[in-house]
Amino acid sequence: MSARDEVLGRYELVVGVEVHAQLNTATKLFCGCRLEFAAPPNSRTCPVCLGHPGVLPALNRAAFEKALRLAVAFGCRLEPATELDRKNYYYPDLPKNYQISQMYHNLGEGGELVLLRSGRTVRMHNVHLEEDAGKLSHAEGGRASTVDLNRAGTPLAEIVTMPDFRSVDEVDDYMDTLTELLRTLDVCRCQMQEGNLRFEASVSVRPRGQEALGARTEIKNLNSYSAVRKGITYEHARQVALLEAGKTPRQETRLWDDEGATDYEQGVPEALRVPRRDVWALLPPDWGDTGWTRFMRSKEQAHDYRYFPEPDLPAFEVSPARVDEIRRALPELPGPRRLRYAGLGVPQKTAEDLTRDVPLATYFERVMALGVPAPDAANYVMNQVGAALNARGLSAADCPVPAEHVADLHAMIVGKALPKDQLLKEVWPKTVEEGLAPSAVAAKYGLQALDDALVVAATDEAWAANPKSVEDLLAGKDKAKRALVGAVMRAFKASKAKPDPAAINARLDALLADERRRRLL
Amino acid sequence: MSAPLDPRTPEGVAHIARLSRLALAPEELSAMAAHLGKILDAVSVLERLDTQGVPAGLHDEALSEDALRADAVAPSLPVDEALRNAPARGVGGFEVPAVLAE
Ligand SMILES: [Zn+2]
Repeated sequence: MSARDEVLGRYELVVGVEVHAQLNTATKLFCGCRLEFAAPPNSRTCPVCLGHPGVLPALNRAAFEKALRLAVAFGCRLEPATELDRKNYYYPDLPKNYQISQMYHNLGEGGELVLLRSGRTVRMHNVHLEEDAGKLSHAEGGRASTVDLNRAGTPLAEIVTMPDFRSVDEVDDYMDTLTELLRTLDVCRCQMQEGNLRFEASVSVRPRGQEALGARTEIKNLNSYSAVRKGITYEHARQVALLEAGKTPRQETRLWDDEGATDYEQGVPEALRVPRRDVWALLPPDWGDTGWTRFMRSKEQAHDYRYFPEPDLPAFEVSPARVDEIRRALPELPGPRRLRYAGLGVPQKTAEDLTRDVPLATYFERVMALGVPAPDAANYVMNQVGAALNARGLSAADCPVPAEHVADLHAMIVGKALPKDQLLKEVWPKTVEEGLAPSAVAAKYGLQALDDALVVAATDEAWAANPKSVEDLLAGKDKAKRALVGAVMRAFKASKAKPDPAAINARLDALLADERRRRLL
Repeated sequence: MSAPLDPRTPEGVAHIARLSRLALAPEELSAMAAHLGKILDAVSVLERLDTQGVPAGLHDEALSEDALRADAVAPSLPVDEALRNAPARGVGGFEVPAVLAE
């Protein structure tokens, strides 16, 4: 065990995660402005999302439903009515000078999520609805920043866990599990590069065996999965380094800075900082020089948001009947789906790949519904269909090949209508290109299976005509077998019907066994 | 946040003024504290009401989901119109003094 592992091992890491997930609605939370990433700056705004005086917000039904669906999927406790609250603060990207959020009546409280990799259960704290702010951009060295309000008013589900994570790997498992859940529920597109998911982590450490939690740091600005992992790893090291130096971490907010290089612990009092090298000694060896959390504010400097119930919006009923309806309409969730696929004989890894891609899983289900056994269906979908989709950069939702064609392919393989190899390599590409069923492709090009007797005869001929290859084969040189198969294939060069290499191989095996027996006698 | 400051005191008023981005001169603070105190006294009459059995919450009756806005796109403003009241314009946006932190 390295010195680093030994020191870190004396403490337990405790992490809670907050996720802001942009809901994939067509319009904003309180107005009809279209949600569109990369639209020209300020081209998706109106008096409501610009915060003009005298306007009234009108809550988006789809956003409300999606957030409810998420809360139901977590098994949250739901109040009979939901209200929104005002969170007051001044910032240039917040045109109203308040954000409509939820403070006093979260949409959902409690609930849990079973992690897909480890099977561990993470307790949720709450799920609530709020609006996103605009986007500020600042040119390096410039004296002004520019505000784009296209994002202002985008519906967000804020998803908050309990401090249930004990390692970076567990957080990783959670991010993957949550991403898959959000996609399955069709509530968020989860495109990190478009800012659909943004994370915050609260991190503390405590000596192993100690019950009481240490003072926690909130890390903001975690905009990628890797930033989350690195931010927590850094904070773990920094807090342990403090404790090892006999100092006590305090409650504060920090910013993850991927490139931070020059302002190490600027503005942090001596009692709350350790030399840089002490922190680096506890970071992974390949950490590099940059990447750390930057002090932003202490607990004492925390904002006073003066929350109060939003007077411009009524309360909305969440009736038990409605919750039941949502619960019954929930799609099958990723965990149970993986188990079901595995139970049908689909290899574990394939079951995971299918579950991760909702449209592909839907396609797979259609192929199975046409009577193709699950392992075969999974195989065609991952390979033949997957290759066709990849080549065209398409999602399975837009698959040009109907599931019926996959079922037809399977029927031809099982019925030995043509050699399997020929079906996959020759017939299937034409199926994809020409939009015809495999059987129609075979008919169009006059492809038909050879009579077994012809294949046997041709194989016997090749055997007789290539004594050198036969001797090599008897001597255990497998290469010779390929030469013999090639000779048989060549015999059918002019024929439209191609022999099945499997049939040739079977005949060769029989001839080989006969020859061996003969020589023993 | 430590314990909330009493808005009837000059310190409390100074805190609220800072949160509201209002510049009040020191002599205004005491006057404002007195004004605020009167307003709060008037409103505090409500505290004497018997609210036993009245459910907490802002609204008497919750609206059903049908009352919500359908997720249908409505036209946005042209960019020029959206930026008409901007104190200053940058490239395609509202220009504000440089913001570096957060
Ligand atoms: Zn708008």
